[in-house]
Amino acid sequence: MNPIVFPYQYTGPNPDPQTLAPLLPLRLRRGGVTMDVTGLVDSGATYSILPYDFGARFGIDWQSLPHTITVRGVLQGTPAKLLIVDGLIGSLPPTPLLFAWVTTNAIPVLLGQTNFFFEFDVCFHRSRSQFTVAPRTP
Amino acid sequence: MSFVEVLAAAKELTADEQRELARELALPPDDIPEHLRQFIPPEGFVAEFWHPTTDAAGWEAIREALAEIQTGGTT
Repeated sequence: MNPIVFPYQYTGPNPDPQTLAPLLPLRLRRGGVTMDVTGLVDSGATYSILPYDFGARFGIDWQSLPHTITVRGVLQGTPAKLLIVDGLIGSLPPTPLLFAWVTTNAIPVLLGQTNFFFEFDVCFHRSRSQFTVAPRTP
Repeated sequence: MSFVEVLAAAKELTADEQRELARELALPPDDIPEHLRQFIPPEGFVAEFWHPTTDAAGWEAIREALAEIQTGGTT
């Protein structure tokens, strides 16, 4: 399957090349709820992050989820629950994605090593302001 | 409702006054699409890095959740 090409996008109010980032539009689905989000493809994140309001839209009780972790790094001890949702990227088949659903909105959607980079082969072409995503190769 | 809208409602500001308030608070202008606002770095920075990680107990929970994916679970 051919990789899908995505452009880098500006993350600031002005078209400053320093603010270009690999932002990926994707659809998240769980149960009967779907939502379109934009996530930062973040190879420096050890796992993926879902801000509180995004996860809440699935109608799930945060407390009811069994796996709790403590997020270290910039969030400095924020609790999170592990949440599995289907991720749909373009025409690629749905893929189960694991997120740490945090109790704050002070962080964007991050697509990190576990398990986004487990499931997708990502190539960054910063010089061309684009990146590609393809299902992992067996 | 955005922070500025909440403040504006509380203060009964006009649209022009809301924009002025947003400018004073160094908040992103309204023409930035909502889905991109989460990525705007703090004032004075061109980017922000979050580097989330976790402790040993957190990794054990992540391993268990990954195992659930393999068996079709829905944690």
